[in-house]
Amino acid sequence: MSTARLQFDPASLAKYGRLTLIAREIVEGFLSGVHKSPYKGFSVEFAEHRQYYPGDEIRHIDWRAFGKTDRYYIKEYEEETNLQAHLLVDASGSMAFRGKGPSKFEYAQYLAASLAYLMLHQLDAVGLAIHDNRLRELIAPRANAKHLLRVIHTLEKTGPGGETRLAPLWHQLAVQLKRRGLVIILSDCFDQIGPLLYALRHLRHRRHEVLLFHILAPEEIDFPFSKWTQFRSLENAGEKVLVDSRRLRAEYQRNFQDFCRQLREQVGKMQIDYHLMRTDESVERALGIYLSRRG
Amino acid sequence: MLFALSAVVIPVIIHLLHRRRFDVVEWGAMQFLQLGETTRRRLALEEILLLALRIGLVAMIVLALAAPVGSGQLFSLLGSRPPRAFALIIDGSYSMGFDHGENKPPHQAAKEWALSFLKKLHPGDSVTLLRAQELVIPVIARPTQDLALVERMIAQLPEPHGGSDLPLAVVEAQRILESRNTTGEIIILSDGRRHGLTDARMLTQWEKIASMLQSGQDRKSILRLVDFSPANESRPNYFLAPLKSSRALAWTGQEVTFKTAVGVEGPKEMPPPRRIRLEIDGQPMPDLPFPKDRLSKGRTPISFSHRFSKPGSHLVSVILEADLPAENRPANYRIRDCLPGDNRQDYALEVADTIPVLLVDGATTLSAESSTFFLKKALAQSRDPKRAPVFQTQVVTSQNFDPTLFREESKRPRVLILADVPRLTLDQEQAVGRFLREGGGVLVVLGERAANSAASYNEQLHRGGKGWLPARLESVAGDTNKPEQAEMPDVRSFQHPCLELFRAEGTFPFAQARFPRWWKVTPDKSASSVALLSNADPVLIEKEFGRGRILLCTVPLDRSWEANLPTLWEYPVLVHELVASLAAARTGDFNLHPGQPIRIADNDKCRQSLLLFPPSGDPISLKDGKQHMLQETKEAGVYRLGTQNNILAYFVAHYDVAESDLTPASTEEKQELGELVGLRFQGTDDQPFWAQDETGSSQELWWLFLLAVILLLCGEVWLTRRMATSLER
Repeated sequence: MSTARLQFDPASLAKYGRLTLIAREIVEGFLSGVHKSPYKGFSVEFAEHRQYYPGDEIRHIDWRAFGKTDRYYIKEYEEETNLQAHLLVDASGSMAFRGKGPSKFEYAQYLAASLAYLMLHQLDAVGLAIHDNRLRELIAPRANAKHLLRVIHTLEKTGPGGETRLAPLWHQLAVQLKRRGLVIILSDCFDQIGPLLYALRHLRHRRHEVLLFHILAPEEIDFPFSKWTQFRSLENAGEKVLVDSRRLRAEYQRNFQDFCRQLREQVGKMQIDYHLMRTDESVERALGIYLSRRG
Repeated sequence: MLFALSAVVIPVIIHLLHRRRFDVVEWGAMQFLQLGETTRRRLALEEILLLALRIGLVAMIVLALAAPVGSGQLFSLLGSRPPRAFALIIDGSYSMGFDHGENKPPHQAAKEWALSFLKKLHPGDSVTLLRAQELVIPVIARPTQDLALVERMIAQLPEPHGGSDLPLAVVEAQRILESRNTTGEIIILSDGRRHGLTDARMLTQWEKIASMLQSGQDRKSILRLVDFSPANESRPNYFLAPLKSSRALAWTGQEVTFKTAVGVEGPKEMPPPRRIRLEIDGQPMPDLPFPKDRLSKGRTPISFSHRFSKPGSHLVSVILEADLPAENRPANYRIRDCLPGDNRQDYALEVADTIPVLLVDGATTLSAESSTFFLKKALAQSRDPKRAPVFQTQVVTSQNFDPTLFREESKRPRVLILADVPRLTLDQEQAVGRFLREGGGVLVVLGERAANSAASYNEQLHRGGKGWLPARLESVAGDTNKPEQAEMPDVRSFQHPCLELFRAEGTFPFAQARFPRWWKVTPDKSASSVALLSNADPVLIEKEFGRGRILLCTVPLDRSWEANLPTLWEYPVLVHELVASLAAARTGDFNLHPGQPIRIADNDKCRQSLLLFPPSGDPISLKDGKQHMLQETKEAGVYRLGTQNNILAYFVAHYDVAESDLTPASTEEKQELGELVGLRFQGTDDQPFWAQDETGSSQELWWLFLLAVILLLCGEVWLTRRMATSLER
């Protein structure tokens, strides 16, 4: 599968430069001090007060403010930290599917590169793992500027292919990634839901913050086919199915939505940030929406 | 039409073509295309069901367009039957008048059956009514839905008489039904006798029409015969044989002898008939005596004579009465004659006052030596010395023979005698031909002068058999110098009715006749030698030409060639008989076979006001000058021509006495007839077949298939929508 040249436009990401990529658990841990932060912080700077809500820990209450206003306020801090993020890019055959827009893999390339730039811009360390049913590329996290070029070059030279067996590989990575950090998965997750969730659970078990970008083409969601169609597998040559698409749509969508719903619910339970990314959405808008939600 | 059922493959082909034309998509999410077993079955089932619905839809449309019909009890429940057309044929022959006193005559029973049949018909059914006589008489010629009219016409049907031709009636009924572009049923109401139904002559006719009946399979009518055959085994019957006259033409005051016979069928011995009445022109005459006390099976001849005092057309009727009149019969009266229809015989006789005869002599001048000399003398005599001669003769030489004589009706002779005429001009020859065609009689007498014109006779008059001369002249035989070798007539060879007088007397009337010379001729195939010489050479040859008749005499009727015939006392009688016979050439116009036309002379002065009274039905006006020349006799009986008060001429269409044969058709014969033309026999006591037909009649099923089309269409729409809805879900 041909790989499109990565159109990396730093200017387009500049507007997100002031945005902060926040790893919720890491920041909370760092601020609370209850638990030793696994990350080194350079400074902890007061950000703002906010109103107390039931459930907030009492120790975070600003008693000085209480004395002045007779109201409970919680002190919030802004932490600068060296985040170690791992970009896991799925390069299996199914990612090669191309609808009217870019293929899912191309979209994942855009997204991974954008994230890498954004995070390196914030001096966070970014690693990259590209895989199908085996680990094809693995770049250890670095935070220097030259690292971005390596990440982008690796993305550029890699194309989709091979079967999708995500779960074993994610298990392997969960073991390989010794230091806890942010694991950003860019995948269509087309694998058996059980092993897939188990692998994600393994990652969470290793105390990684996990962001799951579920990359799907609009055609896979809407299934707009109406004629008799022969679907040929992108992963297994020779596997093909001839169906009346019009009559199959309901069944397909039911299966597909069940899968997505189950994935979303289960990863939600694991406190994994799930985000569905359609390839017809712009990368910039998707990042904006995501980062806004994180903020 | 049903070959269009092959169109059911169209949905299958479309389905297969649809499957062959598909898009190809390189796809990643294969795992979601895997259907469950239940879903897969459901989709396959829906697909098959939809395909079956569409196949059924096409099939039902084809079947509906094919306009199928179904019969049987099942189909009868589907609704009312379509209107049907019926052709009722009522056998009008006199055998239908069989009356044994116990049951109703078949004709009466048939009429009642027909009336009850009409009551069972449905609104919209149409009926045509035919009366089968010797020809077909359409009582109601076009199918009508006015059943009241049909009832009236059935009630007015005349009493059975004459014969019937059932195959002909069936042909006519089929023609009427076909002209209405409809199928129907032809129902014959007859007595199921062998004669007129399954006898050899009728079977030949049935065979002829079988192909016609079966040719139009689509429009073939159902053919039924309701059998009204009388149940009585004992069928005593008196009948009269056809009436014959000793003379075809009589003149006033001449005694005419009539002959008939009384026949009986049934028991070995029967009493003589109660009366044998005689009527002349409808006026009763004294009863005819019957010679026997007892009658055995067979025929007993009876004869009677009558002199007609007035010229013109006369009707002689003999009526046999075997039983007492119905009103005079006692309580337990046993009927002797079960078939009254054959108890009457009629004969139409023309009686002339004078018979104009034109004699054309071959001599250039008329003298005692002329060929016509003795003929004129003979015709001038009358058997009744008190009265004037019957024959009004005119003698002309062949040069003075004016062809225009035949043009004027008043001057036209009835008989033309060409006595040793050597040659005829072309006009004369053509005039003789026209005279013959119009019913004239011609006697050609050969002699010495003709010897010189044999070639002219053969080329001009005979023309190889195409001319009116009945024989080709070959040569003159014999020698007047050898009288011992003269030939004499062979009386035993006299075959002509006009010569019967000389043959029946038991004497040798022409024993003294000698013909030293005579003509040797070769008669035509269409001519017959009615008298021979002793050496077997023909002496009289007869031929019919047109409506007329011609006699060729190969010996002179004068004293030439030393013939001595004119010296014999039989000579005038012979001449009278010959001329009278030729004058009666048109007698055949008055005594006819049914179907023969009635020819009415052009010279009837008052023809504009003439009426023709047929044996049954209303009189026919003859105002149309052309049509009344040919009035077809459709049934046997007496036809009267004249005005309401004055009958000018009688015509008799003689019936076939074989109609008296009451032998019923056997089961095998009926079966054979049924196989031949599809005739279904129906007893009067059987369950009415129209009631069977209510359950067995053909029902049009197109609407049923159309209903199926609608249902299948609804099913197809429902299933398609259901599938579409499931897709939306």
